[in-house]
Amino acid sequence: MMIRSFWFITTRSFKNRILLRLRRLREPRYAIGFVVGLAYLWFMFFRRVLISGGGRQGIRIGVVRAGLPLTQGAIDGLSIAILAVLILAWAWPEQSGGLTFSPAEIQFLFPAPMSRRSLLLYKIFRQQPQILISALMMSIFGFRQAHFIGVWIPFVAISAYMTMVGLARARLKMLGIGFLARLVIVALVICGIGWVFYAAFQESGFMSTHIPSAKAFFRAVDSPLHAPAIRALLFVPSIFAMAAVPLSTSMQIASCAALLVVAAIFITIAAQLNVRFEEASIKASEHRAARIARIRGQRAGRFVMFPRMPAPFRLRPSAHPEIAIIWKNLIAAFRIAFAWIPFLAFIGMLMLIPNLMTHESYLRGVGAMIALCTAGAFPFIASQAFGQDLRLDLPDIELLKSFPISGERLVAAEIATPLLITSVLELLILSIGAWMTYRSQATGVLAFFGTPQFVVVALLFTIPICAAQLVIRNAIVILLPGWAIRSAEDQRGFTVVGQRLVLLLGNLIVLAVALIPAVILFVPAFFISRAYFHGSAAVLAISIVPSVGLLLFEVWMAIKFLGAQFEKIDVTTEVGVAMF
Amino acid sequence: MTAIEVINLTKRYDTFVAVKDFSFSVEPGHVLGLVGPNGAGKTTTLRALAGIHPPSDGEIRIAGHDIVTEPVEAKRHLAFFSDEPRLFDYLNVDEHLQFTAGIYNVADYAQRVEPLLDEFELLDKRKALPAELSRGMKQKLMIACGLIHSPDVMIFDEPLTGLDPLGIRRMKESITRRAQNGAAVILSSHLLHLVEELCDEVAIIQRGTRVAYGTIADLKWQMSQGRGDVSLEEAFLKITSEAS
Repeated sequence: MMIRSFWFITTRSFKNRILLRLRRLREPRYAIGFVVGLAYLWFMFFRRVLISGGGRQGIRIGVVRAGLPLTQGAIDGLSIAILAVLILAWAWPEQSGGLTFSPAEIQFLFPAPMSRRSLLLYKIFRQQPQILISALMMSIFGFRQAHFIGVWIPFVAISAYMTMVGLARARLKMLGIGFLARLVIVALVICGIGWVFYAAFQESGFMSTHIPSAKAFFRAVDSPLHAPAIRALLFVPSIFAMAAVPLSTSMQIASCAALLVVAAIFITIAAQLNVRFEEASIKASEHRAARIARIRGQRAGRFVMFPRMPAPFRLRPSAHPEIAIIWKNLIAAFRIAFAWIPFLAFIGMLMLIPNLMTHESYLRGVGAMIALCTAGAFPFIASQAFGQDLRLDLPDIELLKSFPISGERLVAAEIATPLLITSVLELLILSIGAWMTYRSQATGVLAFFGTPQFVVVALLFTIPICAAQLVIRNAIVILLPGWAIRSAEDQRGFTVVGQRLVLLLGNLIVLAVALIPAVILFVPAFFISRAYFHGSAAVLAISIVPSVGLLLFEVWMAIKFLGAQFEKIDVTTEVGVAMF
Repeated sequence: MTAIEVINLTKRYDTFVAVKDFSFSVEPGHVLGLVGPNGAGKTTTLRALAGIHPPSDGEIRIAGHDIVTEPVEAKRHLAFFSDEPRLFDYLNVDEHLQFTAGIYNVADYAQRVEPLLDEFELLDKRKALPAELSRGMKQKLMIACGLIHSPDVMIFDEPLTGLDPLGIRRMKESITRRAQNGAAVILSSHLLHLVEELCDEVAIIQRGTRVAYGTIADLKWQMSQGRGDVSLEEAFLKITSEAS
């Protein structure tokens, strides 16, 4: 029954997942994302790996040039690492014996007339597709000499071992041997093994021999590892290692066969332990679900990192609705994205301190360049980091749409908070950059960034450019909500990578197009102020006002347009709100 | 003035018609029950009433204001309570109420907040974030937020989901009291005994079309056909089976 259940779930889940993904390709957002994602993966990874094999070859050449005894050395190193993993698994604090099942598996299988042994076997079988995929990825991108089977079979054996040890820890606890006792035992075992290694190395003369080169060092290390005591210790781990780094095909086949036997023994022992893992499994599964939700929240910029951070100011109930929205988003920014502030302060200090401490103008110039480059990229980075606007509220769009506030005012209010934060930080970084450039006494083009003219341009253009970038980001939410909100199944995969690339490219194109009219007005104004008014900052400020005004007008028009679209948007069809 | 007036409401999704030519009205102080089988178009109707999605055809007036042409004025008078509590993950209970008061310009917020928190047993949860609240507490918070501006029109979509017995009783009392104070209420629920207990009138919708509309007593009388009293449940089952 267990094998039938496993087979049914595995094949059907696989088939349904593929069908769902294929069916989704009828929607343009998935089709475009799929094509772009596929192209990206091909050009970034597969082409390099499958056609040229460049990366791995490069590493191999480097290793051989270093004069390392490649295969045997790798087997020895890997064997020691596996021995450490096998031993340390016993020192893991978790001792409830919980195995992670999906909520559906708990719902359907736990009350089903299945023995605990069958449930355990089901769990072990259910891990196999995931192990298979991981092994496939590793053999493509790293261990190509393992011919896939040499990665897959050791993974199977290690997973069986881990399951057995997890249940054994629970059984030991039932016998009164808790975490601390296990820790002491493991520490003693490690000390014992350390002593064996020490004795072998001392006997080989490794401690007293002069080692002139890296090659000699590796030879000196290799020799004591052949001592009988160490060979005995590394016997089981070396079976794993010889499967992954085979000296010959026959040896690999033999190692894999041995590992399958070892895995069967581990599974049999695990089943014999008969640990009541059901309750602990439910808890373990809940913890896993909470962890996944937290990670997804962090990725989506929704995870509340500082839940007790106070509100920035007291909201008057009779204030305008826009103020209420700004207040709400400021709270969100402080509670979700506050970690960015000390991080940015730290980066700022890193730029500033060397600049203050050195008298070398070129070092100051490097610091200034870093600050200016950061300022250039910051509107893009910050618009992503401080996304406390419509992007954050999209899942609650139903609530927003029930508020008595027009779409235009709502969009403007939603954007105001990230605009405030982004502009303040951007101005700060620009000011630091300008000051550092001035101090560096830079010449040529760089010198301009330390002049009052640059400060004027920065002061006047920062807010409109940051606003334009934020409007574009929010436009995606309103005009293409299906691209902006993703279901739990849509969090990963190259279709999502493709969608992100399309959005990024679209963002850059729209921003560039939006800037063209302002640039057309800016360029002559700038050159006139330089040619006829000796680059006067005051004249420059006045002459670029139309350019800034045009950009602000574009932003305002975009907000008006987005507001009208927000009022028309039908959330039911766009973001999958239940229809009836 | 009629508090809620719906004339020939139609809502289409591409070629699929979710609601077709649906008309009804609710006077101040009255409670209308909106019932129908799953997928009948109840939530679609309620969302259109709340201005969440635009109707494809027809007219919706809330306190005399058209929800399409005067959405802000119309929404100022109403509160929509969805079946799933929608809250901001990063605001605590107090901040949710403050924010809603700010959105609706509730000048006497300070006087209103304590009784509401008390009514919905949220006094000791004031600093809790939604993640720290149970499903029922979230539902209570959402209802408290909706009531902070004393709406003239209240739209409930399955209001008792997730509430404990005391919460259910308080919710029923709250709806009745607010209706007695002049609010117009629409209540969508599958709990027909609740509809029978709270509502003056009922509209039955099936496959997007109104199949019955009137006072509960009228519908029951119609269905019993002089053969004694029937419950609303029996009347509902008879009407929907006849319509299908």
